[in-house]
This record gives sequence, structure tokens and C-alpha cells, in this order.
Amino acid sequence: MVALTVIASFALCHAGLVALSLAMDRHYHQVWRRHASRAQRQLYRLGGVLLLLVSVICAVVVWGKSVGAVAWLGILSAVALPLIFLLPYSPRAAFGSGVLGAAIGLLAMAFVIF
Amino acid sequence: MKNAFRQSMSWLHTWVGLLAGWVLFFMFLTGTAGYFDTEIDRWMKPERPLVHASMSLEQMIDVGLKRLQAVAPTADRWFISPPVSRENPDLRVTHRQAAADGKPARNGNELLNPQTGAPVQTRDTGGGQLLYRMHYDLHYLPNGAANWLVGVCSMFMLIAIVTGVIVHKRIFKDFFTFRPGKKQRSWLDAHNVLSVLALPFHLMITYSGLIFFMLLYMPVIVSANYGKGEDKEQLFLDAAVGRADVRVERAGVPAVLAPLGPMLAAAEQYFGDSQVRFLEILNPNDRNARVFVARQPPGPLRNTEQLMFDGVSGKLMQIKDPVANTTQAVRDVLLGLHEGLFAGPVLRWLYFLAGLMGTAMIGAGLVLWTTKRRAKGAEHFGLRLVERLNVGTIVGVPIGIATYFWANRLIPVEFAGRAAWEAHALFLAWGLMLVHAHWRPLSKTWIEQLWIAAGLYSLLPLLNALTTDRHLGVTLRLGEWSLAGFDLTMCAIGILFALTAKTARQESFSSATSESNPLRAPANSAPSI
Repeated sequence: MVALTVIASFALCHAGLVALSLAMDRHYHQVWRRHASRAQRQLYRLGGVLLLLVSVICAVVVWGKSVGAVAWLGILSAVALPLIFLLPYSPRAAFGSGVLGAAIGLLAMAFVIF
Repeated sequence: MKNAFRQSMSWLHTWVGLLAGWVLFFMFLTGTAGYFDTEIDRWMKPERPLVHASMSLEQMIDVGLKRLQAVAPTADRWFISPPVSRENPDLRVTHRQAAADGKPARNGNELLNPQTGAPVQTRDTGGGQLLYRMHYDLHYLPNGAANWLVGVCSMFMLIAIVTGVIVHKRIFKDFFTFRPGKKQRSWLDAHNVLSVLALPFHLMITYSGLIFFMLLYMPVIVSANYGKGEDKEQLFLDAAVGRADVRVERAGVPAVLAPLGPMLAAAEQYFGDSQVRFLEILNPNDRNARVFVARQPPGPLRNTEQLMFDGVSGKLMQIKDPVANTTQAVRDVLLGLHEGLFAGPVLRWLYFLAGLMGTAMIGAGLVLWTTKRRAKGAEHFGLRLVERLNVGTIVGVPIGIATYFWANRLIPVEFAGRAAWEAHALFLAWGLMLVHAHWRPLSKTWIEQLWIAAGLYSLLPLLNALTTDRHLGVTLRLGEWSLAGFDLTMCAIGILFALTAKTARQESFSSATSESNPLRAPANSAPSI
């Protein structure tokens, strides 16, 4: 159970960051070769923030408030680094990894909750 | 006005970063290795038993107690740490006796085989602990000089972090930005990304690092409030760490120590199962004996809850709160965050990764200094020197650390002074790489040293298999993950170095045509640092 929640925290954090990057025109253009509309950007931003929030909650559930905060900052660094190197070399894969992250994270959470 | 400020901050960032860069690189890398000090120690002492006997806590503590009674019955303090956590993979006993009546201080520290009660015989090695201590004692320097040098470099680091944040105008806009294949621009992006992503870690580790030696760096604050002299300093320390209430003098009347079993049982009931971290026995074999049972750290607060028992009657006297006062708690949390002793496996790897990012950030910053000047067509002695020092340090220090591990396996076990020579091997290899960097053409130096590092790291598991019976074939089968993890991690690091070497070679071949690199992202701003 704990392992699944840890996985959810990592996966959702990654998905959240992918969404937040797509909320920026530079990276949206990198992935889709066209510009994002205002609504799209806001949707990605909202989705990204929500995913990150759930990821934080998962970390706090596993480690408690104080250690959870430390761990989550570490998770953020750990998942952001590969994303940043993936974006220029293979932007579509970066997007795909975000979708995969969201799917794995939500599935893991579903297992934990139900 | 604003730009002038930013420019002066940029100047400061560049020069404090460069001056302290190489020492900081060494500090960050050896410190990062320190997050796995126990695992490295384990690997470097292959004689230690593979599988631990299943014994009760009380039995193990009893083994430790017997040993201490035999070797140091008159000590001021005994410590017994049972092998219940990562921090203590073996039964460890420690005794301390301060210098008094013209007799010198007597301290000792032993690992015991819990089954036989005899000290574990291992090869003479500094192990993971020595490697970890290098990041603040710099090995060859006398303590005072090392602590001051480390302090100055840490202060420079703190300045570099703060000025870096000021100079980097687009922290959020460039949060996800890395533009490869563009020389200076790419190095700047890499430096920025590595800095920003782990910024909380960099700030925490640097600031808390300074806190470790705060009494050394700012002694006047203590002497202004408490007066001068060692006893006054002790007064301050007692108040600061909340020890004042338990400073009990020896009565001088011999007394038999109460059985520890009931105390351990009481502690386990209070803390929970497997939560006993260590036992401290103050004034053993005296009427004023006190037994402290400490709890495992549940979080970054470094001090933990302790139960204090009367060592003769065995009665519980006090439950010591880990927080004596707010100041002590703040310091404790900062030091605890720095050391990360509370971290379980996942958090420990995250610490390790953040430490590597810090190391890489410093490396990228150092390289950026040179590429920026090369791009402007500069060519002078200082630039060449920095370029050479960069290769010889950025790849040379990792090569030195790998050599330290090789030396552990290759120096014969019976060789006198082998522990010292393991450490010499580290610095000799580093020195050799610096010399090599001054002889060869620059682009060749990078590639050659990267390949040397790749070879040294990836072949370590093989060397281990040839020289010990603690190799992957055995450790994987038995599920000894701390030993197997070392071999696997070394192999992975070796592969990373090989990939970097391959990339570096392609870069140096394609540098003439890099302008047509299809992976380039559109440029839209001038470098800001």
C-alpha cells in the first residue's frame, strides 16, 4: 500500500509537471508545432496544479507532514530532470510520459483507496 | 539602476563561483557519497558476516555490555548501538573516558559479532566514513584549517546561490528549458536547470553546513554572552543542547549496574518495536549511574526522545523531550536535514540525486565560465588553466573516488598502513588526472578521462568478484541489497560515464557543423549570466 502511494506521488508529480510545461507556449509549440489558445493554456495549468496537489497529498500520507514536504521536494527534482531533457530531444515522448504518469498515478491511487 | 545591480551581482556570482568551485565540487561529491556511507562501509569491509543471527534486542545489548565491562570498566560513558537500523548495520560499542589526573583520554569503538561477542576483524580501511568525512575535513588539512576553508567555501556557495537567483531573471519562464547543441547556451541552460530544480536542497545543504561549525565561525557571540574560557563555553553548550539537567558527576562509590532487560522492555513499550536507537550508560559501575535509551529518529529532528533510568535501582527517572528549547530545535532540524539520517530508502535516493544535481550544477557552472570566454575569442593563461583544472576535477574527482574503491580491493590485507594508502590513492589519481589534463589537447582530455572513469566504475563489480566472495552472484541470490546495490550502482555510473564520453566525442566531431543541428530550439534571449 505504501509502495503504491509512493509510486502515485512520483507519477502524478511527473504528470503535473508535463501539464504545467504544456501550459507554456514555448513547450506547447515544441510538442504540437502550433500555438496554444488561452483556454488550452489555462486548462493545462489547472490540470497541472491539481495533479501536483494530489502528488503532495500522497507524499504527506506516506511520510507525514514534515518528512513528506522534504520528500516531495526531492520527488519534484527527480521527475523534473528527465522531463527537461526529454522535451527538446523527443517532445511527443515527453507528452506521452505525462499521460502515462497520470494513468499510473490514478490507477495506483484507485488501488489504495478501493 | 536595476541593471547595474544585476550586473554587479552577476560579477559576484561568477567570481565566488569560480574561486570556490573546485573545492565545492569535491565537497559536494564526497558529501553526496556520504548519503550511502554505511553501504560503502559495508562493501569496503567484505569480511563482515553476510547474514545476521536472529537474536533479541536484550541478548544483543547484553553481548555489548559484557564487552564494555571487559575492556573499559572505568569509562565515563558507554554507548551500545544494536543493529536494528540502516545507520547501525552491526552491533557497535563505544566507550569514552576524558583525560583526568594526568592520564590521557581513552576512547574506543568496536564492531562486535553478536553471536560470539568478539570484535569483528575486518581489513584496515577508512571505508565509507572516511570518504564522507572528507567533505568537511578535506583529509590532509589540520582540522582548524579545513573547517575554515570549508566555511569560506560554503559562504561563497551561499552567496553564489543568492546572487544566482537574482541574476537568473526567468526562473519560472525557463523552468523547463534546455536547448541542446548550442555550446554556451546549453551549458547555461544546464547550469540553470540543475540549480533551480534542486534549489531548496542547495539552500538547505549550504546553510545548514555553515551551522555545523557556527561556534567556530562566530565564537564572539558566545563569549560576549557567557564569558570566555572553556567552562563558559560548556555552560553555553549545556544550555544550548539541553544537557544541563542530566550532567551527573561520578559519586565515587562502586555499585552494580541494574539489569538492562526491564529498561529495554519499558523503552520498547513506550517507543514501539525496533525503535531503540542506542543505549548510553553514564558513570557505569558507580552509584550515580544513569542509563539513557534513545529512540530512532522519526524525522529531521536530530535529537530524539530518551528515557533516563537510574542505573542502580533501574527506576525510570525522566522522559527527556528531544526539544530542550526552540533555538536548539531549529539547529537540530537543520543539522538533521543536512545529514538525512531519518531518510528511508526512497528519500535516501532522492537525497543522493539532489546531491549529484548540486555537484553537476557546480561542474556546469565551471565549464560555463570557460565556454563563455572562448565564445568571445579569448585566449590567455588563466582561461587555459581553468579549462585544465575543470577536466582534472570534474572527471578527476570521480576517478579518484573509484580508485579509492579499487585500492580497497587491490592493496593486500596484511599491508601496513593500507587504510592511509587507500586515501592516498584517491588523491594520487586526482593529481594524475590534473597532470594528464595539462599534457593532452583539451577535447581529447575530456574524452579520455571520461573513458577512464567509465572503465573504473563499470569494472568494479568484476574486481569485487575476482577478489572476494561478496559478489553479485552471491549477494543477489541472498537478497543482500546493500552489497548488491553498491555493485549495481557502480556499474550504472560507469555506463553513464561511457554514454557521456560517446556524446562528448560526437560533439567534438560535429562542433564544426553544430549550426545546422536540427535539435536546436529557437533562440529568443541573450544569455543572462
